[in-house]
Amino acid sequence: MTHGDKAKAKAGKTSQASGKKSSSQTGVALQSGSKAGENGKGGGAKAAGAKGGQAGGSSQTGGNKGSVEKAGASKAGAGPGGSKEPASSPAGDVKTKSRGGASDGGGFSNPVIADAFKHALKKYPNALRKLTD
Amino acid sequence: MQDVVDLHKAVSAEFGGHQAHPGVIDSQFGLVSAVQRPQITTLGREAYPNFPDKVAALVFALLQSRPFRGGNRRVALASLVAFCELNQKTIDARIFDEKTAENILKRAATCRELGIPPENVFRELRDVMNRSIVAA
Repeated sequence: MTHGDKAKAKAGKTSQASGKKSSSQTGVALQSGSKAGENGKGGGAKAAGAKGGQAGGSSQTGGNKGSVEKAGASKAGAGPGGSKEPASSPAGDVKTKSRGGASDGGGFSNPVIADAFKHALKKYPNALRKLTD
Repeated sequence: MQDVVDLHKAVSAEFGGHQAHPGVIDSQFGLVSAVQRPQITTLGREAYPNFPDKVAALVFALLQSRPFRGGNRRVALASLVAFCELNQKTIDARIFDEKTAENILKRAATCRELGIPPENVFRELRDVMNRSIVAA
């Protein structure tokens, strides 16, 4: 190895360090993932678990990729504002739709049957609730 | 037949919860057989000549053939009320009350598992229908 090579190697090391720093500042998911990975490499399992817990509750973050994905997924799920609302709203819509359709008599091809179903609901609510299968 | 499927959808939406299968038919043959049971003729004569007999036959056939994946007993009870209303009849709720309906439908659905002869349960159901169904 010549003197010029050592200088090149030093320059390369410094560039790598700067690259790590810049990548760590890019995004929240990447930042948490890289930190967890570093702690895992260092042998600090507790520290890695703590980071994972902060990220979204995944305490078993052994690998780098897994921790990054988990953290990203949890962040996306528990994100502030818009990301949480669409996940919960479709289930609520289905519930209200089904309840409303049944009690309103919608979906019946015969109006007499719809009326009969309403009368059955009035006459035998507990029996209909208790009967299973 | 479409009316019974509609009733199953409505009943499943109202009481089925998240595990309901609204409108899912397990046995098409069982459903057709149950719906046509009141019209059966044997040797040129109606097998169920009276209206209460026909109601009992429909309900019992629905409970025995279990055409839907779930909610067969609820559909049987709703079909009973609907069949009566279609033919301008009403059920006396003092005779065929909620407890009676629940007990008799449960026994009719599980008579084979309980070891009760099906004809005995059918006779009991027919007697209750004879007493409770009145003209509207």
